[in-house]
Formats: sequence, C-alpha cells, structure tokens
Amino acid sequence: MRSVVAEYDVKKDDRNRIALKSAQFDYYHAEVFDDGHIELHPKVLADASLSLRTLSMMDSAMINVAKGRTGKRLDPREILDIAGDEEE
Amino acid sequence: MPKFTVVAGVPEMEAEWKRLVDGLKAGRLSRSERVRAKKFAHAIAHLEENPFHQGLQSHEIDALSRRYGQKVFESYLENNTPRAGRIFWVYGPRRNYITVIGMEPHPRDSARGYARVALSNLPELERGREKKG
Repeated sequence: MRSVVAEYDVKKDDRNRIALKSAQFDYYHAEVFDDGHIELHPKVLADASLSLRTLSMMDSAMINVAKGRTGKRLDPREILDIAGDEEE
Repeated sequence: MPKFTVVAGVPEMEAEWKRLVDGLKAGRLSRSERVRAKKFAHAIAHLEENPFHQGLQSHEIDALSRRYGQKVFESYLENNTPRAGRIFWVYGPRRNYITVIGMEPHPRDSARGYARVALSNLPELERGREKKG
C-alpha cells in the first residue's frame, strides 16, 4: 500500500492557506471530513483525451468486471524473465 | 507474496498480454514493443506491491470514474512521461485484486493517426455491447 515519504506539521496562514512542502502534482482534489482531517488526491489535467479503441477496451473490461469476470493474473516475471536483460 | 493480485481485463487486455508474452518467447516483437513490454511488466510489479509507487504517478481519472461508477486510476509506464505509455486500472473484483482495464497507446493505434475522444466529452457507455472473456 501507500507508504509515507514525508511527514511534517503545518499551520494555516492568515488567508486560510496551507503550504505543501513535497507535493508532486500541480492539482489536487481535496476531501474535508467532519472530524477535521483533509485528504488530498492527485489530479492530472494534461493529456485529457483517449484513443477511442482504448475507451472501447475499457468499456468491455468494466462490463465484465461488474460481473466478476476478469482474465488471468498478469505475472511480470513472464516478461521480465525473457526481456529483463535487454537495454531500454 | 505480492500485496495485490493484478489481473487482466477481458477480453482485450488479456489478449494483449498474451500477445506480448508469446511474441517475446518467439522473438516476434519489434524492439520498441519489447521495450514497452518490459515497462508494462515493471508497472505491474509495482502495482502488485504498491499501486501508488512514486514511479507510477498513479492518479484517479474523474471522467472515467464517473463513467464506470467506481474509481478508475491511471499509472504511467515511465516516470513523468505519460507519452511513453499509460495503463488504467481499478480495484476489484475481489478483495486485494487490481484489474488492468486498458492501456495507451492502444496496441492497434498507429503512429500516423487514430481517433481520439476528449475525457470531457465521452460518448455514452453502451452496456449492451458486452464481450465475453
């Protein structure tokens, strides 16, 4: 699961702003909970389009996922054991 | 033991993985396909251990989450380089499972041009158009 790579305390300023010291992304979606904690989820706005074939591929896959149907496990060793030593 | 079992969406994602594995074994893949296969496999290895590994730059795609009624995430095959390839995945269908539902560029899209659609203007999902895996 996710691991903590930075931890620090912050104080909001006079304009209710909090500075993020190690933010990787330019945009975040904020969720504010009634117990006071706030979660930030990275958002990427660039390249906001898809191949129609990719969309069709995902439509089919999601209809099957909804019915509990998936394919086999993707074992990375199947590829890395063959291609692992090649230069990229 | 990996923390997540990563499975292929059906039918196309599973078929693409099989094409890559069989092609590698038979020496049929081009150099660029071999490089992409390797990046794909590295991404799967990261997903198994930590879907939010820094190198994947995983993030939710709102338009797709709305379309399918559950969170859809995108991860990069190459750190900070979306053009090098992206995969789309969801949690499920079982606990501690991740299903890879799509990839970009699509294996059948040529570099010379192909139809694209804006995430802000996706066509309606045709639920009757089912393909069995």
